[in-house]
Amino acid sequence: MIEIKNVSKSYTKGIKSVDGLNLTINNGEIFGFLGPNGAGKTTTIKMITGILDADEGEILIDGFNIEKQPMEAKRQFGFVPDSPDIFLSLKAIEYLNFLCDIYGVEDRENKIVNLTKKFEIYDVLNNKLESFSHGMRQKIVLIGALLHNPNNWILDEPMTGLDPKSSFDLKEMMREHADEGKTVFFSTHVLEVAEKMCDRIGIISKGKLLFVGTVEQAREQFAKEGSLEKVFLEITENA
Amino acid sequence: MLRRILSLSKVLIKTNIIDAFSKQQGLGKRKLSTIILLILAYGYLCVIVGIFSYETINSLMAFNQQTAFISLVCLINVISTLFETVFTSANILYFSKDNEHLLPLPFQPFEIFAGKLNTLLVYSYFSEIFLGLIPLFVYGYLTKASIIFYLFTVIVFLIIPVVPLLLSAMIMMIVMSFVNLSKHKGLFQTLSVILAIAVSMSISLYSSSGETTPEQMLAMFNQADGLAKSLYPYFPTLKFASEALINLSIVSLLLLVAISVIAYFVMIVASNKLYFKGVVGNSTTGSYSKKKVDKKDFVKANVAFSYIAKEFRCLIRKPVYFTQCVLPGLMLPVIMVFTFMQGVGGIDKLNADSSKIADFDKGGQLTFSVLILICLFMSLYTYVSITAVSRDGKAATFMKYIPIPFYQQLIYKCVPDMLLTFVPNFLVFVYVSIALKLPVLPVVFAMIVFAIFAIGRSFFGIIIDCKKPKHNFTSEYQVVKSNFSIFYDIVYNFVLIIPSVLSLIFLSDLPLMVVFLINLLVHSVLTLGLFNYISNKDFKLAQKIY
Repeated sequence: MIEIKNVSKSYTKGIKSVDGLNLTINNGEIFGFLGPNGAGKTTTIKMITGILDADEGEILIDGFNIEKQPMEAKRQFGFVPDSPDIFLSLKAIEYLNFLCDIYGVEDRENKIVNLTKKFEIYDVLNNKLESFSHGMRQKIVLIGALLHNPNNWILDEPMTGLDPKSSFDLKEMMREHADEGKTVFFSTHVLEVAEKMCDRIGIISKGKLLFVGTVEQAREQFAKEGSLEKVFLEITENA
Repeated sequence: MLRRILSLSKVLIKTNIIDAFSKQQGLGKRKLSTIILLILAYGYLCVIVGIFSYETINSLMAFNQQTAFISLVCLINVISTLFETVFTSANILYFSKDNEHLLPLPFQPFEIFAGKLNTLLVYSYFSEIFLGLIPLFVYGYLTKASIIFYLFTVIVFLIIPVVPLLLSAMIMMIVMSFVNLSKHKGLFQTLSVILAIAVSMSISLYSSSGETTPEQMLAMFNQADGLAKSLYPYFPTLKFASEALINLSIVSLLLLVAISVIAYFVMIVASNKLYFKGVVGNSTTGSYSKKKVDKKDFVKANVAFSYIAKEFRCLIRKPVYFTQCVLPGLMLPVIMVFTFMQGVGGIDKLNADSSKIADFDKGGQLTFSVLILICLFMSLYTYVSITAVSRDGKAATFMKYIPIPFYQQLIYKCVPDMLLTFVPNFLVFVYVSIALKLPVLPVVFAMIVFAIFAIGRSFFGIIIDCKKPKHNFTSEYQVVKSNFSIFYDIVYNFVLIIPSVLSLIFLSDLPLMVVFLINLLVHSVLTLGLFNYISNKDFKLAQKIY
């Protein structure tokens, strides 16, 4: 469970990139975080994961405050950043082993083999990440985030670069994870994915959360007959 | 067309050179202290080159051979440009990250090539200021030259690197068009730098082989003059540059400009056929090794060990980082020892002289202080912890979302620097101590102090890197080449030289143990202070990493 309470963040004095954000992502829920470019999605994700400190408010992950109890909080999530270009000089297997060491993953062989076979990347584990395509790097980073079986998945644009099968598998895994009573929080620009996958969505624009609820609620509230795309445009353009 | 080339050149120069300095976090608005430091650093180099030129020209004037200095300066500029750009041209023309962004744009091959060539040209002006402009201005001052000489000097300064640069670029263009160097890119980059260091080492050995009398200097200059003349058929611009400056010949100057401009345009035309061939081949990802993982690949390791191993792998496997941050620090002790041996006349003579050292430095204080001074100098070229955070690029945020305390990660990141600073120097000094039959105690004491210094220096480096991280780079080269933070690292070494120099001057009458304890205390207090800062203020250090 992720609780964001009255969180604000400014990079420049007087301009709030995230403004008084209140949001709770419940257990057993897939939550899609939507918004135009520069809306504050990545800033919010960076604050949830401890990369940025909030100027105001607090963020709890499974009850642990990310600023006051950072180590405990960080053990509760797996994070996929927006760029998969991480430690490209390492071989894929070295990167995954490194993460296993950090998170103290037991039975690493089984977990690595299963996940990498699922994402069809097992055969190239002995290669350096720099030789991988964007999609392959994305798969490795994704696998790395899932190895310690965290309760909360925090994924920044996780589908970018994935091939259709891997994208499908990831979506299945996200559903399974939520069905086990755990949390998935992800940002995306692909509204169809959000529409099909999310139990709830949040739409942010200019740092303010404009809507939180189900896709159906959004339709009812904004454009009754329209697609999520129409709803999204109506909400963000009127912001 | 010309407008497009100029526009692209402006962008490339801005992103490769100017932004590399100004966009470093914390340097966005240059502080007065930073500007002063920058002026001091450049001023220092200018003064050194100026003094050297002054002395040399004065010596040559005694024999009325001062014009040989101009030939030598032109020769040095041609050779240094050639030498420098052979390596940088490969990186900027072929291995640069921006190729991926430029290739899809509607540019002709020659337009991109010209843009990159102009960037290389501006790069070469930086070293030319020291190797060309200052020596020639000193020459002008000493020979009471007219304003025309200075005007010619500036024109020659702007034009002389063109032909050697074109030659380097042509070599790279031909090689890259026919050989798929991209598969061996790492090996190429590493070997090229080792070669560069080997050549510097040879020059260093040659130039340090004993005292030089004015007559020997004159003979040397005549040799250089002869070498310059023998290169005239290959570098006609060298001839015209020298003649333009020596005789203030407008014809030679015009020929220099004309040849360079024609060569430039011929090269641009050639690049339209050859350049994309190599670049396109280079931007594709390589094939994969078919070697499968097996049981031994899934070994559990301690977090600290795993983290440090990761640091070493990322450092050593990336040729740019290995050659820029590690290799100079590894090679310097070896170069020093070779140079030293050459200077003192070999190991046999050393053995004969060792008893004299023992007689002169009975207490061992001198040996102790000198060893520390040398070690501090040697460690100037290890840039591992000062770039430890920046090297990760945008992936440095990884440090902030994993469940390992930030300060602990900083300490892990410092370990490679500590080892790479200490171990090579330690090994070399063990060798030198045995060769010189130095007393054991001062050597052991010096190594203890040096070990503490190495730890403190790595802490200092990482603090600076956290405060001024350089994550946004277009080429990994910028992490070291255009990283102003390295200057702080150098200042740290120079500041810590002070206790050793003071020991040498004021404490040589005190017992060795006292001198050792004073040095130990200074270094320990500083190192502990830095450790304390990292441990307690890590939240502050983490603020610029996001």
